[in-house]
Amino acid sequence: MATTSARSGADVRPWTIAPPDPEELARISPDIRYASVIDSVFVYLYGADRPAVGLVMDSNLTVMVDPETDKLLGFEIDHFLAEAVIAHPSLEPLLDLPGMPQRRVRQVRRQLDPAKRRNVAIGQLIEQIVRPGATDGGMQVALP
Amino acid sequence: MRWQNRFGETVTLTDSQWQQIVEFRPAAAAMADAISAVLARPDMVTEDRAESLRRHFYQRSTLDHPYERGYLKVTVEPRPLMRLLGSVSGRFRAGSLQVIDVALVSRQPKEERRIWPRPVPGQEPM
Repeated sequence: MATTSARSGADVRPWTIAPPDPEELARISPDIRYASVIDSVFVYLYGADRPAVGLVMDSNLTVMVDPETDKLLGFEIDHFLAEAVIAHPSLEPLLDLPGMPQRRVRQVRRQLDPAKRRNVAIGQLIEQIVRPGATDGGMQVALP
Repeated sequence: MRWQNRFGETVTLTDSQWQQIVEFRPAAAAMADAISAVLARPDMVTEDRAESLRRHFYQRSTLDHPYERGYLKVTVEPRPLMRLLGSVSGRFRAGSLQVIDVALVSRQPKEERRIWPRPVPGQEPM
C-alpha cells in the first residue's frame, strides 16, 4: 500500500491508497472520459458518480480515492493533449475519446515521436512474448 | 455566481459550468460554499504549467468529514474572448475570469510555479 499526506498537514491522517484486489480488477470495466475545458482524462474504475479526492502524484497524474476508505477509485491525467500523451505515447489509444478537439488531436499525433512510438510497440510485443503463460498459437518463439 | 478573488478581480461561474464540474467531480458538490473563501483567502496561488493564463487557488480544507484532509483547489482562467483581448492588450478586464475546476487534492504539484505569496528562496512547497 502506498501512503501520502499533505506535507504541512501534520494534524491530519495520511492517505493510504487501497488498490482493488486482482480478481476485482479483472472484472472492472473502466469508464474513461475527457474533460475538454481542463484538458484532463478521467478514468473511473467504479463509475463516475462516486465522490473522490485527488492524491497528486506529479503535475500530470492524480490518483482518485474514496475520501472515507482511501479505496482507489480511478485516475486523472491532466494536461493530456498538451503534455501527457506526448511524454507517454502508450496513452495514444485514448486520443479517440469523445469530446477531444480533432484538430488538436491531429496535431498531437504528428508530434508523437516516431522512435518513442516504435519503442512502445516493441515493448508491448516483448511483454506479450515474456508474459507468464502466454501462448503463441503453436509457434515456437525463440527468445534471445 | 460571482466572487472577488485575492487580487480584487471578479470571478464568475455559470450554472452550466458548475454542472460540468460536478459531472466529472461529484465531490465538488460538497465544496460549492467554500469557493468564495478559497478565491478570497488562498494559502497559495500558482500558475498552471501548460496554460500560462490559468491560475490555481489553494486553501487548506475547512470542510467537514470526510473532506477534511488536503487542500481545496479552485482553478480559474480568462474567458475565451477575454483571453484573446488580454493577449493583445496585455490586460484582463474585471469580470473576465471564470472558474473551470474545483477539487480537493492532497497537495500542490511541485511543477506549478507559485505566484502568491511570492516564493521565498529555500522555502518548502506545501
